[in-house]
Amino acid sequence: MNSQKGFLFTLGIIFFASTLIFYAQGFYESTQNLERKVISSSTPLNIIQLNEDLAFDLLNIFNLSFDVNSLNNSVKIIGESSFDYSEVDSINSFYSFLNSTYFLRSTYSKTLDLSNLLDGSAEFFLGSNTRFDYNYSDSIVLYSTNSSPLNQVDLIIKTNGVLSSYEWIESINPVNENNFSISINYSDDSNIIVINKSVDNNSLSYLNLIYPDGNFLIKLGSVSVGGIDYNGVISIKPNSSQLIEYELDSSYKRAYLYPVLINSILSVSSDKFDSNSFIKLFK
Amino acid sequence: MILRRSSRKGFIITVDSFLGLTLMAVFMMLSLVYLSLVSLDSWNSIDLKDSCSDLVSILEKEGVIDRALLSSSSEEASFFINSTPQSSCFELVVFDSLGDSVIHAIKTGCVKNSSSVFSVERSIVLNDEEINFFIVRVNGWFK
Repeated sequence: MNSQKGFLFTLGIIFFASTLIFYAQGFYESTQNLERKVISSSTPLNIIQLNEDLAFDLLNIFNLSFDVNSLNNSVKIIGESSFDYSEVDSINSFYSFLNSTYFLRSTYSKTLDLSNLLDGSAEFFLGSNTRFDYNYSDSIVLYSTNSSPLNQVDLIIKTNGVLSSYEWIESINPVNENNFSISINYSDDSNIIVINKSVDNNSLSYLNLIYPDGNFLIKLGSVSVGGIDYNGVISIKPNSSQLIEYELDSSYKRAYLYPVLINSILSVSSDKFDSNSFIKLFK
Repeated sequence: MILRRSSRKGFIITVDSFLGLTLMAVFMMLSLVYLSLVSLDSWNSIDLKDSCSDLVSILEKEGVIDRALLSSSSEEASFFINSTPQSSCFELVVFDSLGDSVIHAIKTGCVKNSSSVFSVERSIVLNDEEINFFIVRVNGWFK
């Protein structure tokens, strides 16, 4: 009876000890597998970080700053317009810096296709239907390709020039639903202009700021972009030598503005993967 | 006769317990060998790499590096680096497009003597009157 008990006890101990080894080995192997997974998954993360780094650099080249708030369907764009600045030269310099210095400092083959930004315009895609066209030394245009109506626009303009005169022409829709609120705050060395109105999404309203050497035209509502008429457009076109700083905050009634992409493609490849993606400002 | 049987029993019990203890010790040793092979170094490295990435992004996006380059001073960058968690050390180096170091800052109280140092680099576009390109590197290691 006692020897049977002892035998069972020994078997129990052997079983317990084997389980201990089995679990220790399992823990070791699972940790190793998990570690391998984490290390391999950090490669796509590097590409996302590189993409985000290059997006921020491109914004700096264009002197632009973006802030998108999807909850309010709104986007805030801060920038400046100057005729002295050549975006194309800066993009070419950036391209040679990337290929001769930056991309050579790390592994993987990398290329950034900037050819779409060398045609005189940089296109930013906000969500699937909204676009921001930054036309070098010409104009900036924010519009929705499916004519999503604007809800509110706040525009702050600062310049060091001296205004000769200005002209404000407004179109108001009798159906209040088609109108949007516009707030323009203009200031220069000696003038301040404040406009708070409600204007039509489907017809043209504009503010023309006239300087001794040219003008600065802000169009709102129905505007032709590339030969096609769109509603709910904001277009800012400087034609004078003044350096003009603008802060454009616009919200839409129906729009989802994520992701924000720049019309430029980053390619990263190795013998294990091949990644091509638009430069992304916001996910 | 009774005495002889008892002493044999005692001997068998001793041998049995000795074998049992030895077997148990072998099993325990094997388990400990496996457990000692588990290394968390790469997890720590990934944490450190993320910290370096976050720090370099913040330094660029907050304009700290731009201001450091424009003023040729690393004072503000040092302030940022010093406010990072106690357990980690960071070093900031900004290189110009020729690869020369133009800005350098290291966290106060940190000496770079760790065997595992992680580095993250970002490109910088400084658009002020004329456009210039730089590379910023943040090195990180545990104290």
